[in-house]
Amino acid sequence: MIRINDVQISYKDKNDIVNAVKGVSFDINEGEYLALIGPAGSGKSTLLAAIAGMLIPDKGDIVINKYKLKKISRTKRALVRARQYGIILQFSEMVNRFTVAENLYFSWYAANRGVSETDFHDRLNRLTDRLDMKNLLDSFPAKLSGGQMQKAAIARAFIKNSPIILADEPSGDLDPANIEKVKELFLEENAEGKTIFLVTHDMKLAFDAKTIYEMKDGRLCDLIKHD
Amino acid sequence: MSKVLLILINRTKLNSFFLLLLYITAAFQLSLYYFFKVSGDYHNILLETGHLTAIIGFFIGIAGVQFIITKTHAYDMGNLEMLGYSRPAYMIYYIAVSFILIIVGTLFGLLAFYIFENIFNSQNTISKIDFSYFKIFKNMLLLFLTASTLFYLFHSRKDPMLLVKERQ
Ligand SMILES: Nc1ncnc2c1ncn2[C@@H]1O[C@H](COP(=O)(O)OP(=O)(O)O)[C@@H](O)[C@H]1O
Ligand SMILES: [Mg+2]
Repeated sequence: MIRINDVQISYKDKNDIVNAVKGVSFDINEGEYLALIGPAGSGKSTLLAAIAGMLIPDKGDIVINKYKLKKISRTKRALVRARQYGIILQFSEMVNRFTVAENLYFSWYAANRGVSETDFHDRLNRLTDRLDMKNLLDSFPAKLSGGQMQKAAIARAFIKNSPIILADEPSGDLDPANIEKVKELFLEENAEGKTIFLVTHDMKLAFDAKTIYEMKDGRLCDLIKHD
Repeated sequence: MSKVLLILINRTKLNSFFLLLLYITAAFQLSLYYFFKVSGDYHNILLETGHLTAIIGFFIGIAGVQFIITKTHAYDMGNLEMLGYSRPAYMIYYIAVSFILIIVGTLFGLLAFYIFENIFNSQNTISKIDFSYFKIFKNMLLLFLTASTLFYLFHSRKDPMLLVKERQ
């Protein structure tokens, strides 16, 4: 379980402070499919980054299993990410100097050190078939279109078989046919037990979630749906 | 995981080649300085100070290039950290690449100097004076490996999410 407890996050530029998240609390239970919607600039990506342990809140804390992300070292946070999370960032960020296949491999490897590589190749084949992206494997991220990059980032998050997926607008650049593939993948993986935290503008995708929160101006303002 | 090392070297060929040329020149300059010093070829203090000043200026320039090139890795470092590799874990590979470049650059620089000395200077050849290769390796590593390590640490100091936002 992930507990988000009165989290406040700000960005400090030279002489400017932006309060992006202004006190948010909620839990993400094991196996839950939770969606977060809200207008641009409301702090969704910032919150997701903090849950991922990639930004440290100024106030409040995020606890995953028994780890308080703020209290443990940066090295330990990386380890928690390796074991717990598959992450898709908003702009499908990828290691630039790695090919798509290498990005996928090193995502898998971080969580599966010592596991036989046949596991990687099995998962790679299944995911690239499902997302129809075999042809992208040898490309460098910089050479891909937005939609292609998004598919690669999605595959990279799922290939490691981590218990939790954090996805930030994973369908923003995709066409309807591909959105359908992604929608199915998320539903299926959730049915198999993965916890999913999804930030999205796409209501079709959001309505697959059991719980939908809305965020506005750094605060959670609405619980839109709860089964 | 030497795979990572090979990938890094292979994918940064142009930058690495440029740095290598600079390290070769640096090692050559350093050799020239030590050679003149031990063979008593600096006839007055002004000459020695002038040469040393030029070398220091050149080295500061190289450090500037290192600073810029290490910065281009900030985005990738943030991404590696997102994937679950810790800062010390990936830093080792970046520093290892620097180490290899400095060692290879110094080797070629020394080789070039050895040939140069044997062709143009028949009185005080390297074999006749107490010329220490070790000293040059030591100083090259001390200066440039320290600098690039500090620059890598500096450019990866922010939270990984902020590194990832530094896409160029
Ligand atoms: N690196 C940054 N530096 C300064 N301000 C930022 C930075 N990243 C985001 N912000 C600001 O934080 C706020 C929330 O941004 P973000 O979390 O990306 O919102 P969302 O994902 O909901 O669109 C916005 O006002 C945005 O301008
Ligand atoms: Mg966003």
